[in-house]
Amino acid sequence: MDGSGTHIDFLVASLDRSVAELRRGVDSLDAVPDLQGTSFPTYVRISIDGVAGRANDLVEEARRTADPVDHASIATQLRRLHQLVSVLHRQAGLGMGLKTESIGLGIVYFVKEAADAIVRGDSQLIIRPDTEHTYSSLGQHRVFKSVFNSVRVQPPQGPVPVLIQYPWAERQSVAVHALFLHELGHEAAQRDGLTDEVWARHPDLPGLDRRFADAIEQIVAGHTAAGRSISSEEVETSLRTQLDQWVEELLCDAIATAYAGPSYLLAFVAFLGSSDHDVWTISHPAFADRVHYTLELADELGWAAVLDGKLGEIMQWIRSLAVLSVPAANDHRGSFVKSVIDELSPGIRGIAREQVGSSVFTPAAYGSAADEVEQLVRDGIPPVQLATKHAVGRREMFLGAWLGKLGHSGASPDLVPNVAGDMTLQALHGQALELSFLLEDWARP
Amino acid sequence: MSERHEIVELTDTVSLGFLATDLVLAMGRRLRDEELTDGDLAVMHGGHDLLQRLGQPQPSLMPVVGPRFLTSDAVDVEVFRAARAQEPDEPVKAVIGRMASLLDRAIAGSLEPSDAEAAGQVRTLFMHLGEITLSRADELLTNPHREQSTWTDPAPTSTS
Repeated sequence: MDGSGTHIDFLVASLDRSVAELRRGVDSLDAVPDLQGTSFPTYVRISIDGVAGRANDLVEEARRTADPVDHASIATQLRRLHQLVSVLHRQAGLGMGLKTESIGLGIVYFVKEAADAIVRGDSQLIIRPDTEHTYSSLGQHRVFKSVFNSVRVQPPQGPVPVLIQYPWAERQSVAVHALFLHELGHEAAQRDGLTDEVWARHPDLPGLDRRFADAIEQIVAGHTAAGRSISSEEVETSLRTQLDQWVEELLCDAIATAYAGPSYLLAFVAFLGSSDHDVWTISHPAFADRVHYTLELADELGWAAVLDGKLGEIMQWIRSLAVLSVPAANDHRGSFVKSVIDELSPGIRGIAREQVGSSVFTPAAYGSAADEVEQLVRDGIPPVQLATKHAVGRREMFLGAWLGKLGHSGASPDLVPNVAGDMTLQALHGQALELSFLLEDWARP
Repeated sequence: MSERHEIVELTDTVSLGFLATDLVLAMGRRLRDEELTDGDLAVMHGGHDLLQRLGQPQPSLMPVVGPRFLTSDAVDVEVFRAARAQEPDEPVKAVIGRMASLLDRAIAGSLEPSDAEAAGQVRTLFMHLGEITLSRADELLTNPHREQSTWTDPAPTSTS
């Protein structure tokens, strides 16, 4: 056997070992009695089977061909299968860290209820603490689509795992957990191709493409004038990346707002309000811009009267934060991105409202329970049941907790983080969430 | 870069790598006049669609048609990089467009003997792409990188 044959044999033997280890690891999950997301090991197992199947095909192919380019390519594919095993190892590891839910059951039920309204198709939620001080979703739908395509296997029947992380130390911060809704938006956006739908609603796509070409030319010229070399393709790609990512972020804010109303805005301000309001990254618009577009949708849904009426000084402050930053005259990139985002914003709001559909939370829906829920919160009583004996809805509970504590004269902006940090209130809220689900369950015939 | 963006870029890069190297094997069979499987043809169509989209002379923000997994911008960068490395003196989109046409003829089985050199170049491009994606995936697996935090534009970042 020549050197390439030996090399291929080694790669195959090494892959067999890694696959067997990973399979044993995933099988050990079966013994975990309280594992969240039972679909997750299934997804990993099917991927592992696909890796093994592709390895066998490559070995067969190596026997058939004498072409040295083919042999080099087969060795490359085997190395890539090793990489895929590393990817699956990482994904499976996330699953194995989830043996128990460390977050309140009420919140878990709330997020599941919201997922039913926001994410189309059957999902299995996995909620886990993260060491990062941020909420995040790990895009399992997109990741496994890519993996299955790579190893030529079909996705399994049944629910798709949805993996969402929260900052571990914020476990009891129920009010801030409205940010879970933004993460559900990412799942919906990726599963249903919502950013493409937003682009399709731009009023003048051919004209936009002409401006895109002009912007690329101006940005490249700017770099050249500054003595830096950059290709137009690099600029094109990075601009498209930035625009797509910003659209998705704003869409997720809009979906969360459509579902939860102003509770999302208040949670967002409480959690991120201390960041620099004008700093953007390639993946995220500036805080000020996000507040601007979130408020635009809240106002469109009719929340302005409720908010301005109950949270006078606080809303004045939040509205003062929501001023779109203006790029410098020679910032061609900033000018282009911001103008395009503004043109897309009606489409973003429209798609978000359509995605949430009949579950959009409106002032009319809140109005009937508002006074009662807010009074219960002020009295320190978990807002579980209305005088009508009906359970308090979860969105009403979230908003009632905020407005019950903030809706009085003299309430100032510093009360927003104080309310989110009031652990007595958060415990009350968490308890109320759980009890309202129980009450609904008991009331079912 | 967020964990989600990172894992999506990683799996898209691996997926593109599989496509690229499978295409090298399929083109080898085509050049040796061996029978192509449905899988070979699917891979060649995938490569053709990718090159055709990236070879468009005018940049576009229009929604992408077709499977989303191969439309990651990170993947686009790798294709441009591979084509530029292969033909550094020619506009990269022209190189990509030319190779898309050649792949189209290879799919239809209408390659002429005079296409042999160009077909070899397509094979080389995808071989190179396979290697680049292998390195890039290794990098993402071992050294998750930080996100760029400001514009790449020479203009100062603006504040309101």
